[in-house]
Amino acid sequence: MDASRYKILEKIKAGTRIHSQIPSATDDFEKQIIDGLEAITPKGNQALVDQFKNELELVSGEFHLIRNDDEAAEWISQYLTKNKVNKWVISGETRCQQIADRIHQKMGGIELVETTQIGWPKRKTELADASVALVEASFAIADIGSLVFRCDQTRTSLPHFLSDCVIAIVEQKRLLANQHELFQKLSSEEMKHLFMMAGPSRTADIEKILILGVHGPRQVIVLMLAS
Amino acid sequence: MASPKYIKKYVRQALKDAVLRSAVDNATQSTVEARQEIIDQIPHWEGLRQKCHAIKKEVIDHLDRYLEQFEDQCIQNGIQVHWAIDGREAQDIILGIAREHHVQKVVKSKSLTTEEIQLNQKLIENGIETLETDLGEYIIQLMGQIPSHLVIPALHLTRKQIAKLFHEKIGNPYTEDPTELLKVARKKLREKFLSADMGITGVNFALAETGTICVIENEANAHLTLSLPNIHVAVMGIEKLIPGQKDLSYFLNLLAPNATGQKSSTFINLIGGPSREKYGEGPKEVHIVLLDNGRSNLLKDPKMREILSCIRCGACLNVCPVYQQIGGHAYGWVYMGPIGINLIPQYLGKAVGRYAPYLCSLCKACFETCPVRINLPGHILQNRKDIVQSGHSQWVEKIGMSVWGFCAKHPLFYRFVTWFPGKLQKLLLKEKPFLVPGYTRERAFASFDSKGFRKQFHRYLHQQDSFSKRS
Ligand code: SF4
Repeated sequence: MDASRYKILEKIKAGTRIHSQIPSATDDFEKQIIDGLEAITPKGNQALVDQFKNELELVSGEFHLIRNDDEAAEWISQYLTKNKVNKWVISGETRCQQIADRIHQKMGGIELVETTQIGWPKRKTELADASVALVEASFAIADIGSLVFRCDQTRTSLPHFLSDCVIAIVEQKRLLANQHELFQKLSSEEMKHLFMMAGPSRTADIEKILILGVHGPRQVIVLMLAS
Repeated sequence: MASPKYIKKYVRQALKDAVLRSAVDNATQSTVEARQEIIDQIPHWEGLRQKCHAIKKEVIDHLDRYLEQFEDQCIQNGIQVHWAIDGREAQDIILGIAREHHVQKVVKSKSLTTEEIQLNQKLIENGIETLETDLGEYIIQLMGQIPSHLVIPALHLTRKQIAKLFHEKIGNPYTEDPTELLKVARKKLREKFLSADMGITGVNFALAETGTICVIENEANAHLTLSLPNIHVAVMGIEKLIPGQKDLSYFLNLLAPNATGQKSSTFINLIGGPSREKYGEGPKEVHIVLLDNGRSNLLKDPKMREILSCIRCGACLNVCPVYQQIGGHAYGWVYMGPIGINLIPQYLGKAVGRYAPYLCSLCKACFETCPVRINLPGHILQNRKDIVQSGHSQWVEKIGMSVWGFCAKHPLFYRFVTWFPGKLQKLLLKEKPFLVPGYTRERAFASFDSKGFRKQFHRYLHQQDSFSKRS
């Protein structure tokens, strides 16, 4: 393998010594991009929330603005009752734990799986048939209706991907205009285990017909905690 | 596997297949329209294209430096890095990892690089159950085919064909309802995800500064592939690097609209090492296989190395009038369309790939579309030239060119030869086109008129002359 490494690098070095004739850019286009982004970013907090809602709905997600954790707990309780859910899961954030506690004080009889309390490999089998997951997103991105999850905060990604329905809480103050803003905010360490989710899992592999819930969630509901 | 050696035969078959042609046409047109709708909302689209072209140029021109930096960072992140000079070595490396860990079941997410090295066949031959999990890839694996599009692998199949396939191979009750078909696949594949020992993915972008890889998808199968099994192997071509995280946002903005006509792909996964110890889940080991397989040869050409900028978005296929007519299988390899016909002679050699660069009408739609502004038509012409110079052009072409060369050197003879078809057309064929063996089987040859270029040019010069005299 070391021999291959050496051979490949030597070939590359020999090649790159030849002066490149790929056309060079006349500008670095950074300003054009930043100006463009600014021009399409809605002004004001409410407008940004509206943009996020709009984009999320375009990718088949669902959006609700709520005032606080109590209201979130209330909303989720109703959802669980209405959909006759008998098993639900939460990811590793304290907020998810607190909301789950509130729900369970009020209503029993529903099995709750606290993902990060279960060891491996039991964790994956426990979550394999989960129908609803409560998770918290680190950020939301307005221009693409996407949620951002940092694994150092969630400490798991299985509820997000194995459940049929993902209910994601995100604080309004964590709403960013676009991915450029996100990548400027995150440290390289935080970027090492991270995933983004823009609506339910989807495919158009059969005659370009859009179908939701291929392997991941069929439903993504965002509860945004108003600032 | 098909071979580009037989392109002519495959093209003939494809042109006769009306179902295929309409499936390809529908799929490409809808993606082109969706793409345009997104682009119209982005005022800095051209800036993004230029920026990404410049970033890729920087990486390609200093590829050794970025690769070494990436390797260092990966090692610091606990990722095991392997270098493979060709497909066979990459297969052996991956098989070696599988054997070392007594792997019996592998799940895979869509990766053209693994298609390129025929990894599935190798693992299956060695007794390892290997399953594609992207719905389109799963369908074509069941069908025993290769992808017919870079992004939509089963684009050439109708739902009737898929329904029949599922019924015969999986044994579910016959249904043509896409949602029902999807449920069948989801159930089957969910079991496989949960029991697989190894997950194999491709890489969309690799960040040299941090040793992080980015895997982009819509179905969530890639995430399950890289997070449920104990071992994650990511196979990447050495050209997939970008410098750092700031650059990633530009590419993410470009890739989804071009690939699928979405603003953003549904899931974007960033992986910077094994996570089992840190978070109690995810793979225990992450391996990256850096594949050369002919890529470093391309660097020798100071212009054509630009092809290494390709982000495999498939947009050039969707706008290509040739691809729209013949679909992907006619190219005989895993890369098709304008990018494919550039890669085939480069990666597989000029003898095997001698016909590929001719599957192009030089309309330049691909150049207009390519998000990283690769001069695809320019490289196609260069590839044609290289094929001629290496002596691999077709004999008809060789004879034709020598006849033309002779005529061009003898003006009187040239005049006769160019005058004659016009006369013949007028006297014998009237409006009917000439029959040219091979050429007119699928197309009509334009009829000759007696107003040849020379006559028209002289008339033009005469007009110009009298115009300048008057003024
Ligand atoms: S050549 Fe350009 S348009 Fe074609 S697949 Fe590559 S990046 Fe996309």
